[in-house]
Amino acid sequence: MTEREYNNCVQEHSDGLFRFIIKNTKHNDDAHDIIQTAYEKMWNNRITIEASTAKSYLFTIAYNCLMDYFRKAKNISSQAISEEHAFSYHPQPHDVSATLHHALLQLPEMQRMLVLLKDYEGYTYHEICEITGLTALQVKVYLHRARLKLKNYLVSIDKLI
Amino acid sequence: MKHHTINNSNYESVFLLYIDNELTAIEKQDVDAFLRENPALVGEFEQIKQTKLQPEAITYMQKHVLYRQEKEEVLPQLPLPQQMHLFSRNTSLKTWYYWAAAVSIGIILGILHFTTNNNAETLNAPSMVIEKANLPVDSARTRKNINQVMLVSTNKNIPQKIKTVQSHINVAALKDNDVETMKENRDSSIVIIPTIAATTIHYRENIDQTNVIHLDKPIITSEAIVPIIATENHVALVEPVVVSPKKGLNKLKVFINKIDNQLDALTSIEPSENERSIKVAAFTIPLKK
Repeated sequence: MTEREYNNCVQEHSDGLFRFIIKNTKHNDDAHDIIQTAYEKMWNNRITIEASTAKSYLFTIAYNCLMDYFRKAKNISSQAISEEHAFSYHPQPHDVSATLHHALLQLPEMQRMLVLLKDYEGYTYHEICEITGLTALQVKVYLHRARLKLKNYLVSIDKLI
Repeated sequence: MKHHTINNSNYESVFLLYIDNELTAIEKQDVDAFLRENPALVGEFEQIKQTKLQPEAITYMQKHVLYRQEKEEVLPQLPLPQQMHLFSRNTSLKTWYYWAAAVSIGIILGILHFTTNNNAETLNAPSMVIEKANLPVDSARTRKNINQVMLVSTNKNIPQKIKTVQSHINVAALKDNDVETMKENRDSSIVIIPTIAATTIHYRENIDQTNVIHLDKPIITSEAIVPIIATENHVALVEPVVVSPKKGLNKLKVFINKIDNQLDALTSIEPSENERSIKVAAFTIPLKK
């Protein structure tokens, strides 16, 4: 990967990568740290990286950083983090999209990451396997559980309204 | 690929695969037909469909901290008094300009070669060959210098005149002061590119594959390699070689063959003992996108 290709990757993929990270960390500073780590690693290893695989490489690094992030966060009160730094969503009644995003935040980390990779980035199960290191069956099971939880959440909100 | 046949016991799972776009066109048609036959399940299908997120437009506002620029890299432990540099305008530069720069260097090399050739036999300095830098495989230093080679001194039966050729290359190159001046005066589109490799290849002998490998690493790039070959009587430019990481080694073999053919074309007589070696210097030029 050349310098130009690297900088093109910044232009083309940093928005999507940041979105993937911030949706998981719910914290701006941590998201900045992770995206910078991902691009730093890509820059340092640019000789061995093909431009065509750069996006997957970035998401793989970000995924691994997020896994570490979640492990560390578990040592701190998750409730405290949630209250202090929650990525603010204020779903309006009848707004399915906002309700869905609110529901997304309720999902376990792994399920949330896979839904984001699937819906936001459009990766196939196979590509998600390569990024996360999970098996195809695991990806399918996690995603299906996530979808059913989201569906149940939407149904329950509908009933409340 | 497994065919997902939908029925009353697995429809939920197949609906989810449908939403995730993991079904073939035929399987999707089966799902549509299944829903027509079971209209009571349409509501559930629609509920699952609603769980698909619509991407939000989020912009990363600090892209500027991610942009990077190549630093000028210096070959480690280079024993030469100065390195050969080529300056080239960045990727926006016209191709002909690259060639003009390359031909100019070739002409300078030729002139200097003939003007100083008579002093060659008086030189007693060691010739230069490339040896691979022996660095720990996993160290940060190795990763940083993966595309670099280390020049070392040796006296391995290489004719003294070859040293003269190497000197010509150095004389023809920019001096350190010139480089510094150019850095100060250049606009942002000018880059200084260091030599990536300089080696001796023994002419009409079996090419040592280890030498080939030495050159393989530096040319894992999407840039053009413009080699200069020189014997004590000839200096020539060889057609630029563009290599890709996967085809690097094969391309290099072709490159070596081209050098051999070029030398054949230049020399109508059988090479003397002193002509059995050639010098090759190569430098990279970013290709126009």
